[in-house]
Amino acid sequence: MEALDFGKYNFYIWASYGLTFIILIWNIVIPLLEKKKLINDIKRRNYLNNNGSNDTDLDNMNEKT
Amino acid sequence: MLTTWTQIFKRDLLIAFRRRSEVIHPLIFFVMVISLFPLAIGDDKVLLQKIAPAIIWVTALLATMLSLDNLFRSDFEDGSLEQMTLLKTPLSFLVTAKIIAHWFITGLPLILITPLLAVLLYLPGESISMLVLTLLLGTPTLSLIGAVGIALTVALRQGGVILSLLILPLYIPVLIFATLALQNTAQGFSAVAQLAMMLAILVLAITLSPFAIAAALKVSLN
Amino acid sequence: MGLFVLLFVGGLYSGLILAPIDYEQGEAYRIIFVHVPAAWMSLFIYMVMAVSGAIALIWRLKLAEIVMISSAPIGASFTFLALVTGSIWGKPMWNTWWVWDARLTSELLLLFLYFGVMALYNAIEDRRTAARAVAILALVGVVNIPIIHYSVEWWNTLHQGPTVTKFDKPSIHISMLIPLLIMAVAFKLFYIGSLFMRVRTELLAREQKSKWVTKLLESNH
Repeated sequence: MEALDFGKYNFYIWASYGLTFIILIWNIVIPLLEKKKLINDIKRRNYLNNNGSNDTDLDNMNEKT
Repeated sequence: MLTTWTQIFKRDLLIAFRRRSEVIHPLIFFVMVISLFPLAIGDDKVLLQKIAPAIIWVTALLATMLSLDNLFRSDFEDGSLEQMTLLKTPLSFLVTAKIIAHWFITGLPLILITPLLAVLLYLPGESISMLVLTLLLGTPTLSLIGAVGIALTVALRQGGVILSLLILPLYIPVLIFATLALQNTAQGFSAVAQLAMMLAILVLAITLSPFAIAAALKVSLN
Repeated sequence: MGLFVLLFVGGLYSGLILAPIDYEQGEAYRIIFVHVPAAWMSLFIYMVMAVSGAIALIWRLKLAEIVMISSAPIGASFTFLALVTGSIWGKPMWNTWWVWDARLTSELLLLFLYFGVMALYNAIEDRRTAARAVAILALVGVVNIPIIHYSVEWWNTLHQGPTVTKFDKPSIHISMLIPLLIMAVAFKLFYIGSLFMRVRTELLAREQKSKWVTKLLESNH
């Protein structure tokens, strides 16, 4: 593993590549989480529409969420 | 077509004349903020002289941004903006009337009062003339670019905050070239290159922004 | 996504281990293998965003709108990455975290433009109106792209000049060029993968009232 030791530049190189890794993971995780949340929202709304809810219009008020 | 343009131009000037406070407020803001600096820094002639162009330019940027709101808002709210889109004359042509009027109302007074403020900041003579020149080239660009921003945000509730977020990045090149020109003048070099760039940016803005503004207004009117 | 992983690992390996030591900068130059591809992506994604914005404006294609707005956060991420890795590279090399030269400033401006796009989109209620407004904004900001690209040629500053995208032979050694290009392609594949993930979500959100969405959700879950 000495090939991966960069001497005095160790910190800088690993910081850069580490940050790259973090950002890439971030850009995978966040879309996945958003999709899950959206699907849950849709299912919840469909369930309430089909089985009747006490909230009537409040569910459909915010189109953007 | 030209008469519609002239009508809108005159109308905007007339409205501004009647609502003089809308004209005065950004000007007072300009003067006050600039005065804050010598008060905060103390009477350090050398330092003030050095940063005077930067102070004046940044404050000019902010004052212009503040004044942009009355470019489209009142027309937007009372429906005349919608009427303008329905006319035969292209909207992109008509907005230039509003913007030029706006510049006469905000940019020009700013430029006229700048020499006085520059003297208060110990700026020497040649720098003052260069400052006025950069403002002359720059403030129309600021009005044009700003108009794009306000056209996009006029229909929003939180419009003012987002406006600054959108426009300031686009203002930065103008700011950089203007202050670069002034730095060169202060050191005795020629500032022709920077002035040429500012002129180029102005020409680019004049030719392209009316279309962007018209498109943005139509989006906002939705 | 799988192809990306393969290339990414391959790029990493060749970059970190195989590529030789640069005689000027020592090992630190290896940051180039993430910094430069990230910077390329920041510009590339903005162009994709601007072009899809133009398509959305002219032909009102919903898919163009979705691609445009889904690209924004990814582009912002790469811009951020380029700026920070550049800063990290700058510290050991030129002993400064930052300098206000033309390229860094215009790249920072690019980050602000991305933020502006995302902010404006979130501020407008109706999705389609928001997309049109953002398309206009993106197109206005497109002027910044050539400035970023040519800034190192026009102004003589701290950031080094162009070595790869010149028109004659690139002035970088082949053993360094290859990992660089591998990483560039890897990043592009990542962009496409991540973009599709976001596009899927946005499509679902826009069409959530329609039957095919309901059927899809019922059958899958």
